[in-house]
Amino acid sequence: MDTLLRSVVLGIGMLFGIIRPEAPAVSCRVYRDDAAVFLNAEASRAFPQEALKLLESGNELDLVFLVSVDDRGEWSLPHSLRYDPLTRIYTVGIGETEGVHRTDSREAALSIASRLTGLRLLEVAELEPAGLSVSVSCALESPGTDASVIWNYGRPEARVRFTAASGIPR
Amino acid sequence: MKGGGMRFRTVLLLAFCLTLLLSTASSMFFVFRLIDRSAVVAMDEEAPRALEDAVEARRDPSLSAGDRLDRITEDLLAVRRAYGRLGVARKRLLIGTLETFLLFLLAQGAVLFALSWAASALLTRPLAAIRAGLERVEAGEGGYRFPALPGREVGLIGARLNGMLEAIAEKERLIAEQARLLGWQETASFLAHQIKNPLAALSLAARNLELILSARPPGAAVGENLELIGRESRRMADLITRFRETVRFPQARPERADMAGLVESATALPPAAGAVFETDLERGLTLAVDRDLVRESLLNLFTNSLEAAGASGGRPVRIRVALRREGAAGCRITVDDDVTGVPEDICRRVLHEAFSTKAGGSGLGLLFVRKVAALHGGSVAVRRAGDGGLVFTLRLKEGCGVADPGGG
Repeated sequence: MDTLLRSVVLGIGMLFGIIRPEAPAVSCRVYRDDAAVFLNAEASRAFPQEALKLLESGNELDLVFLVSVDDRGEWSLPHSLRYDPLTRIYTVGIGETEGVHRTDSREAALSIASRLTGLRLLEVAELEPAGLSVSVSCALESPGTDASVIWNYGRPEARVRFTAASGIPR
Repeated sequence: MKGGGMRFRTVLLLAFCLTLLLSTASSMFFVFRLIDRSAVVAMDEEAPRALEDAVEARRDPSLSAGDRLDRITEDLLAVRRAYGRLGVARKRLLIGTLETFLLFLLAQGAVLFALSWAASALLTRPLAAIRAGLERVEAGEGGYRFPALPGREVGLIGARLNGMLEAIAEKERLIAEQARLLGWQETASFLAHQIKNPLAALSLAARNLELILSARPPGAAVGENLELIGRESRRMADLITRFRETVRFPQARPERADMAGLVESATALPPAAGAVFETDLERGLTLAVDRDLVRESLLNLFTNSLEAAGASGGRPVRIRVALRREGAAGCRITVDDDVTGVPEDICRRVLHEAFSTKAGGSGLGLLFVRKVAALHGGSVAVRRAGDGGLVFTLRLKEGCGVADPGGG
């Protein structure tokens, strides 16, 4: 009921131009080599104007990738973004690699934060004959505030399914 | 009507209370949604604290200039972060407000819908009762009458419909009566036609005999008897003619008559008839009536009493006849007897149908009385006395010549 009401409200708000239509999207690509299966994902339009204002006022912003592979498990992979107004440096923390990137380019920082590259999902030996199903969704979070409102409470999601292990591209 | 109004007011009151409750709930929800905790915490606690901290740092003599600058900078950055969250809080506030507004609208719409539904149900319930009643009437339930319906207008409609149904029932009864009467008319015409011819021949033969005997006196006794035969034959023929005319609703032939004398002439029955009359007649009352028809009517009433007495044992019957003036030019003749134990349903039906309790009886006698009364602008009524006897009241007025409703 609450979701329905919210959808109606957002529809009305967008119809009258009161609420900006934010439409983040996520795309993913699953591939393999001889040893393992990997995932690349990218969230587009993930940082609209309101997100940038929140970020550049000094607040931390986390783009969280939620990856699910069949019923074998779920990964929550936060890509944290931080801007230092004093140095004007963007810092991007990549959860899955625990790597940290620093740059003074907003575009570069956003691009790094928006991509999930070469996530090792499982070993080839673990592949089931029935195939593989992968889903990726994104959420925007910020400590101390409800950042999901930036995406109009939406959560983009992408799914890919292979009916046979041999169908996974290399 | 009162009950319907009360129910309507109760529904209105409940709807009002429900609307109030929903409005309150919506307002509370609205207030809760307005409070964006993050924004409040940021702007209401963090930003002032950071600014105070910056002021403290500026005044703190123990800090070096560099440390003081660092602290002030950090505090200003905290204020900037708090300010940055305001954009998100503003959007939350907007969506929350719209949600509350829509919820409130939906609640109001639901209440209005419920109220309209209840009101329409209350208003249309009497109409549904009318429709159901009309369907029952249409299905042939002629005796159906609408119950008291709530609501002034609908109640009036129900009453009017009941009036219409009563009128229709009365018309149907009259039509049925006229149909029966028409049957009797045809029968009477046929009988009159069949009897009148032999009577005419008899009358003619008697007349011839009278002429023949008159040429050879002294056949006085024979002559008297023949004269009697002739007179009675003529009278029978006349009566049959009158009877036929009667069932055809003829025009009366009024003439001035002393009503007391007229009633007395009708009571002059031979002792063998078995009637003992007690009369209470108002004298000096003269009215323009058809003597023969009125006399025949009274004889019919007396005959009715005598036959009723015969049915209950054959003893002599005491008949009380009273004559009273009624109005400027009218009278009331009451015929009562000491016959008892007449059932209630017979009393009710005796005047309204060609009804008879006797085997082979036509019931035309009382019908005749009724028609004579109608011809004289009057009426005949019957009521059941306390001992179960019937009391007939014949009312007559001057001014005869009621139009023939049967057209015959």
